[in-house]
Amino acid sequence: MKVHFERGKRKYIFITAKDGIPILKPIIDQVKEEKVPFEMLFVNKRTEQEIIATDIERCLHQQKMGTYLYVALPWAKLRYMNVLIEKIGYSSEEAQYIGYGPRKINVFCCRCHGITETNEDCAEIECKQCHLELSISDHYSSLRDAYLGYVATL
Amino acid sequence: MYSASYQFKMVTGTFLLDKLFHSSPRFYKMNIINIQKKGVSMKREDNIEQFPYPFKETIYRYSNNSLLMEEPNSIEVTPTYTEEILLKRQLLTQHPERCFQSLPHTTKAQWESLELILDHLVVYYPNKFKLYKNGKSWTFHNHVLKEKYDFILGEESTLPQQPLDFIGRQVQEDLILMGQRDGNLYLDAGQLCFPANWSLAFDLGMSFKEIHHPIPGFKEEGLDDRILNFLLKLEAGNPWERKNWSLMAGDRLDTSLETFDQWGKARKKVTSKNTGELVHLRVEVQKLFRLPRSNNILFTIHTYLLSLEKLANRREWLEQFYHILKELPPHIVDYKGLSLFRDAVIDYLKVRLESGETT
Amino acid sequence: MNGETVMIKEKTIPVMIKAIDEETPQIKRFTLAPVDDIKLPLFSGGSHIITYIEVENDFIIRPYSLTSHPFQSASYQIAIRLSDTSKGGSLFWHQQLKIGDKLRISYPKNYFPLSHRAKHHVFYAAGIGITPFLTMMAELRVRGISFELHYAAKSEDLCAFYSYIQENYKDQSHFYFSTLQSRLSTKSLQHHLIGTHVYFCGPESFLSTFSDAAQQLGYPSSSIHLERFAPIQPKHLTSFEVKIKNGTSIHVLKEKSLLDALLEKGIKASYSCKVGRCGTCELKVAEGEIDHYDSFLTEEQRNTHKIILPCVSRAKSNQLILEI
Repeated sequence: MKVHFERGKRKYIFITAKDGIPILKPIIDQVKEEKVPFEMLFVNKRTEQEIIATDIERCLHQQKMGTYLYVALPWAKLRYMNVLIEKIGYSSEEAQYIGYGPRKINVFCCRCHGITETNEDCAEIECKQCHLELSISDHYSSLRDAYLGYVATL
Repeated sequence: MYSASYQFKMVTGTFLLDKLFHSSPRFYKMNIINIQKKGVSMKREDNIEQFPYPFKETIYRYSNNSLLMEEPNSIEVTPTYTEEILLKRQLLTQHPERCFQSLPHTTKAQWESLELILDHLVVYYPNKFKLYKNGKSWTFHNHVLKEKYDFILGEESTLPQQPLDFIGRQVQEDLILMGQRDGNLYLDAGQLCFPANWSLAFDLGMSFKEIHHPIPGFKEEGLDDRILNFLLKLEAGNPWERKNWSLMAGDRLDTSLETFDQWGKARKKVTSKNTGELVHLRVEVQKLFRLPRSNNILFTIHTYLLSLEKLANRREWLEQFYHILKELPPHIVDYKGLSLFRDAVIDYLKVRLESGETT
Repeated sequence: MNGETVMIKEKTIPVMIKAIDEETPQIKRFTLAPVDDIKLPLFSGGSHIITYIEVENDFIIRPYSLTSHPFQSASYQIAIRLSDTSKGGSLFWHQQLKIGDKLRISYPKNYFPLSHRAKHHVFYAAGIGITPFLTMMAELRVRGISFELHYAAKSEDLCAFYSYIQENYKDQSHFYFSTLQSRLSTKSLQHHLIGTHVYFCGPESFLSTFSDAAQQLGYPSSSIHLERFAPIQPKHLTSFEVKIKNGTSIHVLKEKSLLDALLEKGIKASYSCKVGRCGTCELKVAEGEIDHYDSFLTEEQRNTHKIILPCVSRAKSNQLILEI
C-alpha cells in the first residue's frame, strides 16, 4: 500500500506497531525536515484492544483541527482503529490507513446474506451458511465489512 | 414463483390482508384468501399503450437521461395495481430482510416520504384513495383494496411497519431513500421488491459511487461524477424522471440478486421459437424528489414489462430497438445480462422486421 | 403574463407579505405567508428561497436565506439589507413593497447545508451574513448538537437579530463590534478541536480571509463551508454567431437557445433536460467567451471557457467556435 505525504498540516500523529515503522519512516523523515510538530503512539502487541483504545482515544480527542493521522497496523487491528478514529471525528481527509501482514476478508453471500471469512487472495468460496458456490467480487460494503459473493455457476 | 394463473377473491375488512400476510405465508398459499381480478390479462405484462418506451436515439450509451417532470407525481397506479401490491406484500412477509432495510436515524426522512406519497395518492387518484386529517391523527383509506389505516403522524408505534415500508405497501413502486450528507449521497433506506439484479441488503449504507462500482463503463468521462453532482443539486418542487432498461428472459418481477440462481436460469432457455414470448423489455421509470426538511432524495421506481412479441408490433420501436441492440458495445451487453440470448433476440427482431407481421 | 420572454422556469408558491419589521436602519425582516390555505414546506438549516416579484412585464428575481424556524410551516421570514450598490432588488423590497403585496417564491433550496458528521459547528458571520446561521442554529438546537457563533457587526444597534440571538443562543454567541474596537480575528480558528466544522458568511473579503486561514492551519476543505447561491436566469439576451468544425456558420437568434439553433440546422446534438441541469448537452468550445447560465459545471470548468451547456448558456463574445 502506498503512503503519501499530506502537506500543510499543523501536527502529525503516527499510530503504529514495531513492524509499521519502516512503512512510515519516509513520512516521519519529511515531517522532521519540515519541522512540523508530531507525536508517535505505539500499539503494543501484547496490549488489550480496550487499553489501546483508552490511551490513544484520549490523546486523539484532545487534538485540534489541522491534525493529521498516519495509521500503520496489521490488518486485523486496522479496521478497529479506523472505526474508533472516525467515531472521534477525524474524516477520511484527516487520516491515512496502511495495513500490512496477512489479511482476512469477509464474503457476503448474495443468496442468504451469510458472512464467510477467507484469505484475501481467494477467488471462490463456499458459503458456510447455505453452501452456495460464490465467486468473490471486488464490490465492498463498509457497513458489512465484506465483499459481495456472486453465484459462481448458474 | 409467482404465476399469473392465480385467481383471487377479496375478503373485505380492515387490516385483514396485512394481518393475514403477517401471520403465516403458508396461510396465504392455502388460498383461504381469494381475490377477484377483473379484466387483467393472463400474462404478467403491461399493456403497450401505457408502456414507458425508453429510447430516443438509435444508439444507447449510459447518460444522465433525466427530464424535469411536468406533473410532480411520484407514483402511478396502473391496471396491474392489485396483483403487484399483493405480490409485494407477500415478498415482504416471506423475505423481510431482502425487501426492506433502513439505517437508524432515518425515521424523519421516512415520514417525509410517507407524507409526500400519501399526498400524491389522494391528489392524483382521488377516487381510489382518501386521507382525513384531524391535527396529527390521520386516517388513510385505500378504496382499491378496501383498507383503512388510522395513525398519528410522527408516531411510529401507530403504524404497522416503519413509515417507508408502510407507504411502500400502498404503491407499486419500489422506494429508495438517499441521505445527502457532506457532499455525498448514501443509501439510507429502501423497500425493494422488484430489483433488477441487485441486493438492497448488501448496498445499504453505500455511497452513490460505491453502489455503482460494478457497472463497467460508468466511470468513463466522469459520468458517475456528473450524475452525482446532478443529484446533489436536485431541488424541492422540481422533481425529475428518468428510465432504466434491460432485457430479461421471463416475466418475473422479483429479479433480486438473492434469487438469481432461480430466475437467471431462464436466460439459457431462450430459443429461436420462444424468443418473442419469453424475452421481455424491462423498463424502470425512476422519479427523483428532493425532500426539503431532511434534504434527502426519494427515488420511486416503477417496473414495467413488455414482451418482444408485443414490442415488435410497433414498427418504429422494432426498427429502433433492433439498431440499438446491434450496436450495443460488449460491456453494456454483458452488464445488462444479455450475453446469453442477445443473438437470439437480434435474429428474432430481424425476422419480424423483414416479415412486417404483427401478432 | 402577456407573451413576454421572461418566464419562471420552476415551480413556485404564491405568498403575500404579512409583516415588515426593521432589524436595523438598513435591514428589514419580511414575513411571508401562503396565499392559499396551504402549509409551507419545512426545510433544513441553511436553506434559501428565490423570490419573484412581478413588475410591469418583468420579474425581479433575488435569492434570500430563510431566517424563520425550519420546522414550522405557517410562514417564512427573510431579512434583506438595503445594498449601497443595489441593482434595484433590495431597493424595491425596502421602498416599494407593502404589507399585503403578493409575490411568488421558489421551494426552499439548500446549497449551504450543515455537516452531518461534525462533532461541533462554528459559525462566523459578518453583517447580513448572519441570516443562514439562524436556521442552522435552530436545527442544531432541536437535534441537540453543539455549536458556537462569532458575529461581527459595527455596533449593537446595527447588529441584526442581536436581541433574538441573545434570547436564544446567549451561551453560544460571541459578538464583535468594530465601534468598540472589538474585532473578529482568524486566530479563533486555532482553538477548535478535531471534528469541528467551520462556516463563513459575509462579504467576499471576509470569506476569503477566513477560508484561507483555515486552509493554512490544515483544516480539510470538507470541513470548511461557504455560502453559495445558485445562478440567476439571464434577462437581456442578444443574438450571436456560432461556427462548427466543418466551417458552417449558424446565427443564433436572441429568442433561441444555442441548442435549438443547432438542432434546427440538423446537427445531432444530445440533450435531455434543456434547463442547464443534467449535463447531457455539454459541448467543447474552441474559441470565444461564454456567458454561463447553467447549474451544472463547476466554477473551474466555467472559467476555462472551453465547455458550454448550449441549452441555456450563450456567447459573451460575438462568436463561439464549437468543437462539433
